[in-house]
Amino acid sequence: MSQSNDMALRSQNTISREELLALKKEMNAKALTRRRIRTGSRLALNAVVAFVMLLPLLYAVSIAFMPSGELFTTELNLIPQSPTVQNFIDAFTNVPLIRFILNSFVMAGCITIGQIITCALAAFAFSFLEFKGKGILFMIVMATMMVPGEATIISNYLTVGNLGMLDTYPVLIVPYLTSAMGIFLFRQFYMSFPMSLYESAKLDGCSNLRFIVSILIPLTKSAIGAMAVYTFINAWNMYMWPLLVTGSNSMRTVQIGISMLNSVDSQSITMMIAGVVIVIIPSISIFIVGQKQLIRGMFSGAVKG
Amino acid sequence: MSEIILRNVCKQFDNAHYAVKDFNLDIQDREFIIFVGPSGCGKSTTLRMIAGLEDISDGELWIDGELCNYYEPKDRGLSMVFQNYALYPNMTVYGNLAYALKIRKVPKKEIDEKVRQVAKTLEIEHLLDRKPAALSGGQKQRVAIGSAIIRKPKAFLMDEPLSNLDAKLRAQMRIELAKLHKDLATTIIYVTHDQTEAMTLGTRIVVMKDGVVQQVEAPIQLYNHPANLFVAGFIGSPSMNFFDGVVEEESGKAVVYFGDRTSGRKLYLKGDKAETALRRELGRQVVLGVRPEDIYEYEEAKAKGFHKDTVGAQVRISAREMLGAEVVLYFDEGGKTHAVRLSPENETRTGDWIDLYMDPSRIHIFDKETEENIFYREEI
Amino acid sequence: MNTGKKKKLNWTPYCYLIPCMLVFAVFLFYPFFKTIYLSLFLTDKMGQAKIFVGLENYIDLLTSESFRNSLKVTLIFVVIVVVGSMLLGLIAAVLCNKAFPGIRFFSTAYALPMAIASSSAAMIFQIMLHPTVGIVNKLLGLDINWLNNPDTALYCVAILTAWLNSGINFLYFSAGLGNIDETIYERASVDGASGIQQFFSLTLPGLSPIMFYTLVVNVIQAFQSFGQIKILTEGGPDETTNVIVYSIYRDAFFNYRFGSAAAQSVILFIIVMIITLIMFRIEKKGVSYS
Repeated sequence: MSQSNDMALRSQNTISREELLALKKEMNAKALTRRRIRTGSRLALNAVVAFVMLLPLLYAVSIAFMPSGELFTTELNLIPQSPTVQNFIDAFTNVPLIRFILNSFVMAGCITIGQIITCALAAFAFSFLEFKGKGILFMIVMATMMVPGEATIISNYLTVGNLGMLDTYPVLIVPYLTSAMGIFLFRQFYMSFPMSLYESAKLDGCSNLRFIVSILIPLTKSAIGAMAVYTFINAWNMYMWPLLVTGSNSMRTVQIGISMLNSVDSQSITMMIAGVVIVIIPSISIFIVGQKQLIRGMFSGAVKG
Repeated sequence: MSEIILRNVCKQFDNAHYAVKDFNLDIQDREFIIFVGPSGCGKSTTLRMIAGLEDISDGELWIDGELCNYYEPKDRGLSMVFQNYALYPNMTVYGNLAYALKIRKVPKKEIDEKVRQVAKTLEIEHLLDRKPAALSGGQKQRVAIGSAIIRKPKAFLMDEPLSNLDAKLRAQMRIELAKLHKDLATTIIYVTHDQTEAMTLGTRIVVMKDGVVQQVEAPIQLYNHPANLFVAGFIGSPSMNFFDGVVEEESGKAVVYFGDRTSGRKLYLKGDKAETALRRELGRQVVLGVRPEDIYEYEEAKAKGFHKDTVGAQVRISAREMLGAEVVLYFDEGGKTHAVRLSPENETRTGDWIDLYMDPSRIHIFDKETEENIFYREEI
Repeated sequence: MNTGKKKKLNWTPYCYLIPCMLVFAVFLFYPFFKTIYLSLFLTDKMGQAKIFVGLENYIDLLTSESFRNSLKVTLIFVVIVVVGSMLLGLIAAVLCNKAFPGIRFFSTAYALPMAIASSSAAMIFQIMLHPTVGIVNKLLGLDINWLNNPDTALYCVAILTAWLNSGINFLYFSAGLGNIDETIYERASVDGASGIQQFFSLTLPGLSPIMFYTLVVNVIQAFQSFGQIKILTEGGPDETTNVIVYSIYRDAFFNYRFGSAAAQSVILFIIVMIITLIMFRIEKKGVSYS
């Protein structure tokens, strides 16, 4: 840097008090400017990247409030001139959106609760109990992570079809009631507790179930929180399975339901995007609220594990 | 030749609070300077300001006559050893040692020669291909030191380099560091909270507290002539015993009473000490300080000839520690525990009463208000 | 051993495994083997195995122009998605690494795509890429029918998928960056390394373990992309976006050729398996652990 060179000339013996003070003042001012520029450019860079990343969402929100006529101009119209909520009203009246939302909540909620229960039970057995074949069973569970959904989806479809379960809540929920990742995550957390925690509870006359409910669950709130956020969002966003197994409006989930708004009729574009915005809101809200939990419970562990 | 001068160096993290205030120090070439003090005293901050890892809020840092306040860390010509070793986890030991040279575009052959030479000096040749994760604490320590000494810096900065090692290894590394300092013939600035390290390694010690330098002195001077109560209590183990007292004149002699006059326990000062005490502290509240090894039983006091200048204190021993080469007895008084270091033949048991005599020539007197050692300026 | 015959098999531990094992058995293990079984048969419209044909389904697939095209399209798609999403995640994580005002807002923004469904995102992109009203054409002053053009459709779908997957990568890389010891940067700055040298000699190697994990997850995830293709292009135009998963869907649920679809599933599984194993192989040699 240039400042090193011109300062190297100023040795201690040749510089006067006044010169020194002036130099310090100048250098401090320079350092401050440099710091400001650094923070400023970091902020600007982030703003640009974040804007690009958020562009699809911002664009969607903007279109959702745009009167249909406004969209069809050749000029660049990013912000609605005369904002309207008509698109949202249309979306709700054109398709049974409320029913779709309810279906999605039931499905995602049941899957989330179910996964937490089955995974917590299995992880408890894998980390605190001794039994024959424990190692092999755990390996089998972990191996399921390697099987992609596509390798099973056809057979699953045929199975539930043969059972006459198509177009019901259970068919949406039951196949997703457990997850190898959840078992792994909970086990990681349980393994961090000493065995003596379980042994002393046993000595106090605590049953296994009671140990899980009154000791393990309160101690692993952050893992449960992370798991809940992650599972709910993924279930809410599920597409292929609901597409295959639901046929009627009364069972469709939001992700399938809004694609019904996706008609060729270009007059309905703004309405369709309004529907998309409505559907995105729940998953984004849950994500923003649970983000901290998610990061603490899932990602800090993922790196070490 | 390297000379580091700090002039009124200050560090403010936020506008209200000084982490370091008016730090002044002239470091000569080849000194082994120790910054010591309790945690949070600003010793590490000062070191990091010298390294360039922290901005200097005010004051000047001169290295070899150049104002270095605004130099980047890499332009200051210093190298540093960190408390947690800061080894690059993805590089082998060889890569760690070579990194600073590689950055400076030193020819490969020369790097190789230097790495092998440093590894030989530190006896880590067999570890060159290992990653830091596969090293023990002591080995990591050697690699960290090795990567600091591989280039010829103007000075080494070391931030508590031994504090993560176990006691035995620490003692061993202490000796090696002292040897290294002699061999390298370079300035070392060394931060520690361990007073044993400070006493054994340093050519001069800087004692700090709350961001302020308390005293700068060679180890033995620091031990014998602490500038104030804090330094007196911080340096030495077991630490100095303190008693409240008052200075009086009694038929021309300087007397220090323990507690107040009614206690009857007193000792007579002589020579310069008496003169200073009378001049500065007559009638004032003082704190008396005496090191555990300057307290004796009657026979020894008599042998040393001061048994008449001091009135023996009868105390009850509350604990006894036999250390082999010495025995340390403890007694409680005035809500504080005091220690006495006696020869190992002493057979006093816990619960026994014992008469103790303090050596008046080895006594320190601190003004109760200013906490300064009243003899300090006169003696130095 | 000393308890001898008194020791009975204790059933309690297995009870805790029943719920999850039941679900795995019915919806994972059984269908997995059934898919392999089906792939060896010709099926009727109800998906019942009718005629055993051995490996004929596989041979037909591997010799068919259409499936080979699917393989090619899938590989191009996966490469673009994985590289794109990891790059986006890495850039965002590096930008958000040091504390600065607004960091919470920006890190939420970068992670946000992980909360968005592929179908919703696809519908938004559909409008953005719309030939007349879409913002992309308006901004660039072009008149391209992005999704109906065989030259651009695949890239559009891949970029959308990269964007969707970048959110979770951002979280992984942020966690990885947070795990790098801060003092090695201090030592490097005393040693004389510039910011760029520090990034390449410390930051990237420090991220390599998490980078590898993220790579594996991303590859598996990219192979499974479905919703955006179904909504945006339905495999077209000219099959240029007909990735294997979409081809499976079409064969099974439009053409009712369950046997062939099952065979494609098995091939997809084997491809993902082989790639994962190769990555683990390379990882054992290359990636450095701290």
